Amino acid sequence: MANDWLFAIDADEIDEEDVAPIEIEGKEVAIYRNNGRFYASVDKCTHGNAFLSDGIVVGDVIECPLHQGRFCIKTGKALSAPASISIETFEVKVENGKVFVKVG
Amino acid sequence: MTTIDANADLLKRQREIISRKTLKPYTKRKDLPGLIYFFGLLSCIGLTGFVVFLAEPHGWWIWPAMLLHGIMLSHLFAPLHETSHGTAFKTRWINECVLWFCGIVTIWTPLYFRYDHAGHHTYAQVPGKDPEFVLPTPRTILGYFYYVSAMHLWVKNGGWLFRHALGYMTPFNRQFVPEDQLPKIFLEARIMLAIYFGLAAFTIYTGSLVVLTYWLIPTIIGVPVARMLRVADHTGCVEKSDLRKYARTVTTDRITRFFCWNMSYHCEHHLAPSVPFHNLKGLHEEVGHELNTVDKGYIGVQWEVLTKHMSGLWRKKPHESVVQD
Ligand code: FES
Repeated sequence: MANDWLFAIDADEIDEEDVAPIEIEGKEVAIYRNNGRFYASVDKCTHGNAFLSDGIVVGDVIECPLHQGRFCIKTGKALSAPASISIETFEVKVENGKVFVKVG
Repeated sequence: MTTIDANADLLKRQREIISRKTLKPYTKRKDLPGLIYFFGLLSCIGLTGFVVFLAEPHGWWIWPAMLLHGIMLSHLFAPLHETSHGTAFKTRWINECVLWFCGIVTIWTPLYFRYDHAGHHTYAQVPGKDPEFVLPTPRTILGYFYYVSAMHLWVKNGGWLFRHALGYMTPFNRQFVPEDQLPKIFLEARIMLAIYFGLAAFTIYTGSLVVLTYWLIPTIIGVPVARMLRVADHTGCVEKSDLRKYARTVTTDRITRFFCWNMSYHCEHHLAPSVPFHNLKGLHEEVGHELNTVDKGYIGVQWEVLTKHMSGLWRKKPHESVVQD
């Protein structure tokens, strides 16, 4: 199952420059939307475990709600303190208005 | 409670007070309000610097002028704090430039402060864990004056600066910083010390008093006003992790709100640190009734702290109970 495309969410359920939490295969995943494109990552901040889906998306960046650590939603790279460890990202595709994720 | 549990608990409680949907519009970032506040404050600093210039030839008049100038300089702590959260500006590089500028002028190591302050948000008012706990119980009047005079601040910030420049961090401070980030923090302290030594060398070499009269002396004598504002944030509130009661929102006038960048809405800031300063008033109107809002102004709060939340003049009495709400 790890390499399968799994349905995550309807594309129109996420606003532009926003994020939504979903659970796939027991994994907590955050799905981001920016400029009409979709991205996915684990839903836990590497600094203190806050849900990134509670954070705010500013362009290509997700900002953690708790201490404002920042990560690139495309690559998962930690961009600023207090976050320093990157987050795991997942492949995403959109078909017929539905977002699919590979949580391998 | 581990840090992870403490963070989870905090977010759970936040959701009990405000939903994500209601909160979201308040988290919107902008550049303009931060630029207006920052350049507004810089203009005030320029103006009081000019007053120092005018007072220079008039003997002792220079002291009240430097005090006024120092009070303005000390308010740079407000943008330092806001930029440490990254919420002051939408444009990241503006945020980081202002953070560094304010850090150098106010003598706070900006990157380390970001980690330390994250620890404060996780553990606000938790004894033994909050790295920015202002006057925990049992507190004394002498302790209050030690804090407000900012002597504690120079000991703390000087300690950060010199220890980190020497490549050492205390175990307590270390818990807030990931191991791989220590070199950056040591480097920032070295850069800042190099700047300060450069200014000292300039002063000694040229015999010019510019650095002393326009920055260092005003900074030292002016900072107590900003410290008094800090006392009002938490001191005398409950000493446990309680989003509703562990901080204090002080209703105050527009001018004070301008100088403290709306940190008078301190409960709201702790409730949702992602909300930029310019939206805290709106957030207060939304949820302020659920939080610890006091309507007596900053001077009233100082009086309350001094008269209700002290356990003596100078000697700590650990078993004495102190008003907790
Ligand atoms: S929990 Fe995300 S930055 Fe601290």
